[in-house]
Amino acid sequence: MPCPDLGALRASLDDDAAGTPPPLHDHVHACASCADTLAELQRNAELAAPAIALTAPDVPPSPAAVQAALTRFEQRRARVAAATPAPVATATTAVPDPIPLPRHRRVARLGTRARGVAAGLVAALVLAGLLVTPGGRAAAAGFLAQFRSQRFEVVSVDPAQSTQVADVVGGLVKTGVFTGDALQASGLGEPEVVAGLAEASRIAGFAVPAVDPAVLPGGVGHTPERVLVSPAREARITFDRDRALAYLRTHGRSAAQLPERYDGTQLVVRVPAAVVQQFAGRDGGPALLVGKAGTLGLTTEGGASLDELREVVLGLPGLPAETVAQLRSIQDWRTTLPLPVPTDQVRSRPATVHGAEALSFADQTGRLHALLWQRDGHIWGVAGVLGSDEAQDVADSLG
Amino acid sequence: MRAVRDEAGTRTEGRERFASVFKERYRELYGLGYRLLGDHGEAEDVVQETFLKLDGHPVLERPDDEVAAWLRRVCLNTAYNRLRGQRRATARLDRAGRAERAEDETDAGATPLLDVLRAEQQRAVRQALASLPERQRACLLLRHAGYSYAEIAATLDLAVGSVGVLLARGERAFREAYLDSDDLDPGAYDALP
Repeated sequence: MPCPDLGALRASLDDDAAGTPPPLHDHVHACASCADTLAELQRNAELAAPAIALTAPDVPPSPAAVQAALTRFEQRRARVAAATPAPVATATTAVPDPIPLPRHRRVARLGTRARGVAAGLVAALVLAGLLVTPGGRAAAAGFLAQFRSQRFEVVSVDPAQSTQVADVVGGLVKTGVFTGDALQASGLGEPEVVAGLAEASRIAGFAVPAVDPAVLPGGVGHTPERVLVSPAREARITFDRDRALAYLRTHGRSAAQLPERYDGTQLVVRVPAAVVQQFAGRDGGPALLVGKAGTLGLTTEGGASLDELREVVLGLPGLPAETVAQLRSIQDWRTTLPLPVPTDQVRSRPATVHGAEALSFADQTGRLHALLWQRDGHIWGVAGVLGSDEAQDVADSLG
Repeated sequence: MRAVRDEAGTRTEGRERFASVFKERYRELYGLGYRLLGDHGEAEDVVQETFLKLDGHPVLERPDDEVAAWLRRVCLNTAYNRLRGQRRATARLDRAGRAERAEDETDAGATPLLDVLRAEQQRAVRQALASLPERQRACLLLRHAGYSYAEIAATLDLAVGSVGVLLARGERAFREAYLDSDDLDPGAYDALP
């Protein structure tokens, strides 16, 4: 017979090896080359067997340990099943209606695009843009991880980056990497109308000043048409390690690893109480919004720290590198609230209100302006159909 | 109504089947995971992940030997993914070695010296194995854990006739890597209990 191949020779050393031709041993006795190869194979096998045996666990799991492992598995399975992904909710804002322009100096009404911008500005004002639902937006709040907001920093996002971020956030929610309580979700971002500032102050837990009519632009009503209050809430978003790993692996991170202890960590978002005074223009629609809110807080409960969860989120595939770089460049991310600003719709610049750092926003048409600042542990904002100087006057009048 | 009962019955059978497979296969998968990773906690993690992938998977309806091969394959891949995730496999091996040494030193019984030597040998073996291509490494581990050629072939999705070649090459590569270890005394393991 011809010389057997290497595999057949190696198999001949094992009794249970399949496919060993019967005449092989006879051949090896007669073939010096095959005998040498077989001898080498035997030496290699004799070295490997006891060495590799050392890697076995000293004591195999007992039946009780196996049963305990099964119990742990079933608990884990139940946890995964219970964490049904929350639906991706669309962001609501404090301005459901179009913002009309004061007749004396503006065109009749804003178009859809302008309404979107206005909504965006007001959303920034009351932080609803970040915190509308635990399932969707609050995952973004996790992305924008910070501990206690004391100042703002603009994170510029162009439409492509915005889409990328939305895709990633949507993917995280859809795949159940982050899940939130649907009941918590339903209550967020839906302020209730109250009788007046006194009631608003009582619900919010802080004093809400009246706006001096003297600083209001012409055509704007002197008293608020509506006062809206969002009580302080706590939203919890649960991080699922297994789903995060699955997510990472389906997005090309086959070697991704996350410590087991991360599983089930809750991101606790302390949504501050917020009060918005809505002033009507001449046609009765909202023309000016003045808001005050507590500061946003964020922490974690569970095996992963806020820093660790932040790293996980910032490291997610699909996020625009530039956005991540901007977020990473924030020196003190625990006290800085990053505000995503769509560069194609809104311009922003630094400003000051009563000596405090502020951000001034404007839409591309110049019709809509907003100011956002923090002072004395509160977030303040003014937004509406007014000029930047008018917004500044209103802001300066607020204590 | 009957359809509902049938569905519930099927679900119950599926759960029972799963639990039975879990109990039957846990020990061997744990052994495989531990052999590769050298860490009890990580080995359990890998096995749990493996069974999580099995849960609801159609392969569960296949015959036992096919389920077993599928589980071994997934377990090995999961363990390899963990190893690959480390910046340097050797760092893991060093840690595993240190952890085992620390464990052994803490739990030093009548043979602390042998325990330390054993831990050193385990480290050297895992280091040598880590230098092998993954299929060779898997083949060696499976064969020296007692699996038959047919089982290895099913696990690695090979023809049975190819197992011998893979094993021969793997053992040769292992010998070279193992004997090249800096701190190795090739005969030391012979003296261990």
